[in-house]
Amino acid sequence: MDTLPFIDRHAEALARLGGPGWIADLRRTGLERYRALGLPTQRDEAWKYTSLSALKKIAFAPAFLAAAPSFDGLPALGGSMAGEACRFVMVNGRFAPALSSLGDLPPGIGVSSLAAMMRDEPDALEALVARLYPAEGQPLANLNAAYLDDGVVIRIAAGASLGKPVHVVSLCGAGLAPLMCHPRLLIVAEAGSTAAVVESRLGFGGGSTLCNVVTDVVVEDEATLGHYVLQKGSDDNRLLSSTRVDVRAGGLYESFALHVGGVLARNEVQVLLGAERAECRVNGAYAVSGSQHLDNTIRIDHAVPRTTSRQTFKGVLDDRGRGVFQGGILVRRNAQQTDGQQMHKALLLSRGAEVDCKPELEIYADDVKCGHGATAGELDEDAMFFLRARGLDPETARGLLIEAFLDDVIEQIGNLTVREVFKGVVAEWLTRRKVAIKETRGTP
Amino acid sequence: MALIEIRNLHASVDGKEILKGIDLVIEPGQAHAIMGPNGAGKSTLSNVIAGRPGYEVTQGSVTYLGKDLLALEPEARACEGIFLAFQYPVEIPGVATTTFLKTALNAHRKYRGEGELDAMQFLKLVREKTRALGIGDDKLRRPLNVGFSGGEKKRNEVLQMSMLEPRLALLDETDSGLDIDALKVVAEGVNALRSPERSFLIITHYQRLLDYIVPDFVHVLADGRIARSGGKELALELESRGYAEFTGAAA
Repeated sequence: MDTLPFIDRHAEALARLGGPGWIADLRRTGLERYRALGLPTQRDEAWKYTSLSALKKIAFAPAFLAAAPSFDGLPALGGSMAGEACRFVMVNGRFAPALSSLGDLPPGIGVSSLAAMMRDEPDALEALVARLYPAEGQPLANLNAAYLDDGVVIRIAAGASLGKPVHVVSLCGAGLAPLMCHPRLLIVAEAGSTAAVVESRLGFGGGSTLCNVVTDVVVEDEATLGHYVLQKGSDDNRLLSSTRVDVRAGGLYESFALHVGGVLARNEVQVLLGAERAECRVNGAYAVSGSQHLDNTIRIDHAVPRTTSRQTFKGVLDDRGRGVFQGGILVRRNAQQTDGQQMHKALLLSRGAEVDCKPELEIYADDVKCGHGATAGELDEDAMFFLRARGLDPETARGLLIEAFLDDVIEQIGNLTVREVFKGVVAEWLTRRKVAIKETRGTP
Repeated sequence: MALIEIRNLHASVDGKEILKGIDLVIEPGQAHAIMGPNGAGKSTLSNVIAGRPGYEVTQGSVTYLGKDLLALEPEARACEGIFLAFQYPVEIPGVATTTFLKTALNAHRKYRGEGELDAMQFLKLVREKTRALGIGDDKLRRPLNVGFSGGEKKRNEVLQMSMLEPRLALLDETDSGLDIDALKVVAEGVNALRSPERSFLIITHYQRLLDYIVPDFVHVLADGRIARSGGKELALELESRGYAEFTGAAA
């Protein structure tokens, strides 16, 4: 048996996976690299504050080798989001056509299952092979490649403009036996196009799951892509997400990750601004409670002159919740007139909560504008008293101030439909929090 | 029955005694002004009545409508009809003024066992109150006090007071930071709320405010005690003679 976790049933899995020969090569390469790199440990600088060692003790089986979990509430969970253009639902990493709704897509937008493309359009997929190979040094992305099976390919044709967002719903759930899945997302926004993609990462059922998702994004010349992620897992869901973005000349990649649930989550986003006037905004907000742990690790590579990046994250931490923010800005030697800014603000609601913030600025050019900032604080006592003196009970007052704290970063979401949906998610989280507090107080 | 009866009130902040035995009775409909030098404990008195955390009562009692006020949480005191108009109203980004007003009003209604107002009823009420105070709809949509001038913030406090209809309003240095025009607008708003059931405790350093909000009684607070009480003419006397005799007595 392999000493490395997650691959002891790989041979068995491989025998069940189809696809053309070059996909088999890709899986083999992924496995070899994962074996060589091993699972990240806290000795790796990029994983300094997040430990994966607890995962090693859980025997996660590849989801497609286990019996499909049944859950009556699935259709409701995969339910529509107000204002979506279409809905692509995956259950444990595999496309679920019965829960999806892909009809009436506007012209110029393609949304396909990766497995279906392997089967029906291998040539079209092979054209994207460079995007399917993960970076060599990334163990988790290579582990994902080793199991490459299904996912979604979203193609926005040159010049196309899509007002309503494409909604990808990723549901993870297990019965008694722990399951893992390795979905792959590929988003290509061709030149001059404008579109928004929302990913809802949700949990169901009561068993342990590990979702190791890899997303590859290309924003071509003068294209604008909004990429919005909602993470609302349960305390049985663990999520490791690696996103690689390539922004071309004059392109804009705008992302927002809203995290309100999941016992362990890591959002790693690497953006290459590889052509002039390329721009990215990598923002997010999170709320952790109980013993939840969320890690946002961002790295922006300003590779050429005149590129712009913004990172703004805000987190609310309660109980023993833990937040990690590692914000990297790399400005290469010739990347003059780079404008790169990052900010992380944390609101600590309990003594047991912890936030670790590590800015990493590597600047090799001399004519740049780069800045970073971080704050961590408690709720303002004066504001609390003001609200109580107007008759609000402490929990309502706290809720209002938490909403106020998160408001300005959520206001930065460019797509108005998504902004309203995400505001609703925050409001719902606050209501659940208030109910939970009342119940705790109610029991002796 | 007196609206509020304060007996031998001693209070400390961070272990330092600020109020050293206050006796004060306010009947319904009366307006009392508390004047005095800086550091005398004027704001401490209003904060203790409103229940601000960190203000520790070490001796004495405060009875409000026959109840032990000091046993109540700040939000319960507010819902019982005590309103503190803040010297420095807090800014709350992301929360529209209307949302805040509605939340506060419904908290009061819930406390009294009344149903929440629906959107139409609320809108009607808030329109009526804002028109009287000359507050535009645009201000209502904006986040609470964010980017408001000093005068706008104080007018907003008066708006909240008129919405929540308290029995006892504590005006803590309401005149601070206001020019004369803003002061007049705020004073008019307060005067419109005076009634035989509603009482006021007006805390101020300067006599100026009392030209516009005329009190029934004036008390001089010095070194944590009421050093002298009188009618409204006492304020004028203080204006001309200053607080020297009281600070001297305290030293």
